[in-house]
Amino acid sequence: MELESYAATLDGIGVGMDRSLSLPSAGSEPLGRDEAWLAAIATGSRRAFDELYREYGPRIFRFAYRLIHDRTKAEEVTNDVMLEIWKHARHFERRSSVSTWILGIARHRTLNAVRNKTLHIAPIEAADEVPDEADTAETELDHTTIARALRAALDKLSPEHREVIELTFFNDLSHKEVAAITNCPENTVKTRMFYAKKRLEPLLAALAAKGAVA
Amino acid sequence: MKPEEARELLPWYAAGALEPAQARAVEALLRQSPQLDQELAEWRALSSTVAKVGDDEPAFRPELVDDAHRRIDAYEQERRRERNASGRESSATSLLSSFLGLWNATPFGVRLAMAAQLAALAVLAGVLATRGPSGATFETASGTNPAAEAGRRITVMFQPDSSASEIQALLAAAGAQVVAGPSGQDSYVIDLGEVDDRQLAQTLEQLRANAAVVRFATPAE
Repeated sequence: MELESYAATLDGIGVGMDRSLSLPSAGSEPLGRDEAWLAAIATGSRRAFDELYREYGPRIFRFAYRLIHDRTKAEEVTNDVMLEIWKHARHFERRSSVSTWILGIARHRTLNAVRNKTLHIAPIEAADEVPDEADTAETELDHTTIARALRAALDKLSPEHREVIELTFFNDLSHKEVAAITNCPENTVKTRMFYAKKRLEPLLAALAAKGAVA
Repeated sequence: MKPEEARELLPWYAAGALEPAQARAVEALLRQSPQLDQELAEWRALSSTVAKVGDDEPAFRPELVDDAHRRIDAYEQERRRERNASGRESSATSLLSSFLGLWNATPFGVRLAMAAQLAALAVLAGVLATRGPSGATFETASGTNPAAEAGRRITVMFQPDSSASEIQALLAAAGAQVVAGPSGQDSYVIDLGEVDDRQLAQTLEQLRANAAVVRFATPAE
């Protein structure tokens, strides 16, 4: 939806919008849904904020929770990120997608929270081997149990490895986008993914053998 | 694409996050390699596990948005307060810098004279504040509110020997009041209020005709 039509929609429900707004490098390209939300937020639209919140709030919360393992802190991070979006929507320069920008803020905030919290996370090199029950999983454990064991194993990954997995599989981001968000080369992203899987391999093999999705 | 490249891209193929050309290249290699296909199954297992919210994970609370709005309210309030404060500050700074600009452009001798005048004014103000009768007010010969509303005006010089009551009677007859004076030449400016040219001329005539009291009268600039 373009900014003008979005503005018209907002006008229709009584939400004022600054028509003089111009995004820094907007050019003549039409604005996508997320960009239109940001443009409206930059003019002070609470309704656009609500819509963006509905879309991104749960994703930010899930991302933060899976790295922090603390519901309250994950909620704090979520609203810290949403306030940052409110404050800086006007400065969004379209150099990346909106989701990359937002998840970049989320990652930054989450890692700050992780640093301030004692986590039961071991570096990938020092982490215990994935639970021994994985060896017997193929023969004895059902799919749900393996999936639970896999989630437990994921929780033991370092934030650097966990974030690559979360951004890829929960947020459906490409390796380029993950590299942009984590601010590291694409090859580093691929390497982290490779090592993360290595830690999880026995469980993944068991799960794959049982048909993956419960 | 080499098999090793395809292997590196498999997680993003499983997530559906590859560009179409890359996805097609990976698919071509998948058809040729059962081992790669097995790895893909593992990535898909990981993908489906991560994509789902586990039953041991807390649900997202949509009402969190209310807290976000409260924080935005507080932020906006603070922002408005800061903007108002900085607005006042910049006005004061602007006035000060304008004054300093004018001051610096003024010749030294004039600056010295101005400083001396300011000092004299300060001394005078101090004396008035400490010695002046409290509640004293200035009253012109014709009223207590001389500069109330600007109308048509006449500059008048009164005869030196005319009395205050004669002048008051003359001004009352003309419907005028003194709004300025006396000047260095002992002239006064009187205000007639909103009158037209004809009434102004009549009053002038009336004043000039009373030579015992009025020495000179002419429309004020």
